[in-house]
Amino acid sequence: MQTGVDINRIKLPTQFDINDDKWMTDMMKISDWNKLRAKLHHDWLQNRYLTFLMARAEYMDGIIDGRASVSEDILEQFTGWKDKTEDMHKLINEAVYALSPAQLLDEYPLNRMAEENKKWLKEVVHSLYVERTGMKETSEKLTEKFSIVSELYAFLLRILKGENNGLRQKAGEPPFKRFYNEVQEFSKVISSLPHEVQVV
Amino acid sequence: MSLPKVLVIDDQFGRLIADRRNLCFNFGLVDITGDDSKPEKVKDPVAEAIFCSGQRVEKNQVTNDTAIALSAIKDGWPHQDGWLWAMVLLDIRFVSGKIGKDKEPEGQPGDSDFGMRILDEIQKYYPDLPVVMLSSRERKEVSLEFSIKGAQAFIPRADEKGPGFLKEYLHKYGLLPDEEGEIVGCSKALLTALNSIRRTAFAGDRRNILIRGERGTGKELIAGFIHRQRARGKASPFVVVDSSNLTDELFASLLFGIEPKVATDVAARTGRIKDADGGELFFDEIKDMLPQVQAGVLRVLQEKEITPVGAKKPIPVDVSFISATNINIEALSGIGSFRPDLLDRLREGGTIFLPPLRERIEDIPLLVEKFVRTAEKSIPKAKHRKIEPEALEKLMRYDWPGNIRDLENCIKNAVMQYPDVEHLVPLHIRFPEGEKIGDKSIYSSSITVHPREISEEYMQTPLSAASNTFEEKKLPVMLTEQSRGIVNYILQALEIYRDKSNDDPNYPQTWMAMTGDTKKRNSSEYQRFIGNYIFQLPDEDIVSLMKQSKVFEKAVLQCGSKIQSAKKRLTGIRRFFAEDKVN
Repeated sequence: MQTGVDINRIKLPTQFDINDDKWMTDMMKISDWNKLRAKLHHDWLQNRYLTFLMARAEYMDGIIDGRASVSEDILEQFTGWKDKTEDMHKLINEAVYALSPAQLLDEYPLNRMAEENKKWLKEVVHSLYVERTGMKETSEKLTEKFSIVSELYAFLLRILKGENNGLRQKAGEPPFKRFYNEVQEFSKVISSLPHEVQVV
Repeated sequence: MSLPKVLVIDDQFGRLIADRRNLCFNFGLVDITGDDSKPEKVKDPVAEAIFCSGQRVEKNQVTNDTAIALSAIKDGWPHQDGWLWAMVLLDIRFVSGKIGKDKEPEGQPGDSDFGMRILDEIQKYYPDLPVVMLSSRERKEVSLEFSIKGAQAFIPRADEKGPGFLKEYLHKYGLLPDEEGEIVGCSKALLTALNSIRRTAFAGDRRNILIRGERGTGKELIAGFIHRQRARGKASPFVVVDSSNLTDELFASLLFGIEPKVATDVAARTGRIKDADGGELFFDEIKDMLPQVQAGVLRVLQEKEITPVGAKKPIPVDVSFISATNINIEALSGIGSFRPDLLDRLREGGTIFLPPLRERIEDIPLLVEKFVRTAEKSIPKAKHRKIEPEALEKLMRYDWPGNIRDLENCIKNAVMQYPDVEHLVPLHIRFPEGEKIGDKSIYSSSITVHPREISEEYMQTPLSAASNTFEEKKLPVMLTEQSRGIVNYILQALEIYRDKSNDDPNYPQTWMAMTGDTKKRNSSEYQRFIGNYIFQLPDEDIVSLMKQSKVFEKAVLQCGSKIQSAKKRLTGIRRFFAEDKVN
């Protein structure tokens, strides 16, 4: 089985360092972020992955309790999480900037402002937006939910791979159903994000 | 009973088999699309589903295409095998474009609401087809748009409550046959009528309902269905009253009851309305209701209480009235033979129009099956028989002026006459009106016009006051006596209308003399009035008359557009008339 990205090594955003001004130039445009969100969240996570978990969580809980082996197609669908991890990380990390009104300073007519003014104004606008919209808290919540799902995923994968050192007992009851619930919670937080730049 | 069929129009679940299996598992859908070699086995299925992506896939390009979705709908609307979609489940976002490295389309502008474009087309071409949105989109983002475009509801696809919603909406909005099998048939006309009843019952609506339909169309069965839907398994009364039995002398005691000790030779009794308390009372043939009875019933509807004969105080009642008639009661009301205020009360919850059997011939095989088996059971030693296709064909070619009741009698007679055979064949079938197998084409030179049921009072409304100068009086030579009566009335009315158009100062007097209606009507009301007569005639008669009279042709087109219930028929009539002229 291919392992792809090691989710434990992904650095998740925990704070916003406005002194590091790299974000000002690398900011993802809202249109691109929305496109990524639609493809990743709506088309894959909600339509496909959650539909899969809703259908098969109970079955997979039954499998690990019965120590039977999981079928290839089910395993392939389950490990779809791993394939999307990098993009998911990008979506979460970029959300706070993509939705920031600081974007507007790169668009007409504000983009005609002198660069030195634009720079400090961007910082101010972004800071105000982060504080006033609760975006910081939302982003932290996203990160937290993502971590929970990723950790649980890695844990369940070890069980499915047949590691038998008491993991099943540690998992509690029933772990795949719990995984489904956690993915749903994670999805709900993404859904709560706006689709447009937030002007405050 | 077979499972209802739903059409799922969804890009991903239309294309991706593994994902579709998950969806089917979650929602209890049996996949009968035919493109999956191992479709999901569903434990407690709620419907059979055919999936359609609404997309074209060519080389590495996916293109959204409403024509594909519409073509899939057409396949089951109605299907040649007799079934039709109970419902469409429609996705909103359809991802199209070049297929990327992840084997998924890259996406294009317009994808996010392509389902709404399909919904527009469905409303345009299949307005009777119930559509429920099935999507992962946030409901609040799309709620206004799908409401405007006519969808019934929204099911969140990734939500665990989704399957429960599907069950509920299928029952509430789906075009489903009578689950108890008392009303037989799965034609669009019938299922649409049953659906409208379920919807009102589901909403807890217990307002009075009027059922209109020709004789023998099963109005009492429909009344029973309304009662069952409203009762939802709980015990509640359903009382049938034949309006023609309500004489001026007896109606009060029959409907309101008699108090004990009113007179020495009169026994106390509970009235039929009290019997129906908490349930439904069915008034059959309200056209036969006498004026005094109408006044008495109106009081009950207004006050929601009855006073039994000999009682000092009224008693409250909670009764829902279902009434039925086989004539255009609105027209009767318009000429003063039925109280308009009573009619308004009796149809406050709406009017259900029952289709005649000739408009639901696809139901004939199911009905014949039921009637043959019933007859075999009721006739001693009658053999079980196979219904031969030729016999069915013969039955389906007849016009059935007496509708289902006549069909049932015809089948019973066939079994009774030939109890010892194992086949129902054309020879066994004798039609109630002789061997006049109707050529259903209205282009036929020998149009078969069956008598409509019009009450005697209606037929005998005085026409003598109207002048006799209308040059087209002799037109309806091909019509039966009863139809001719209506047509004469229409011609008289048209004549007055023509005078009115010429500012005839005598118009109100002429009108009043003819109808007894003291209200001066404006042009629009007048057209609606005439239209109410015209559209009592069958389409064949209307087209035939249009061919013979330009005045009539103009009246049909003008007056028909004023009557809501005639608008649909008018479209077909226009088309037939235009085609017939060309031919």
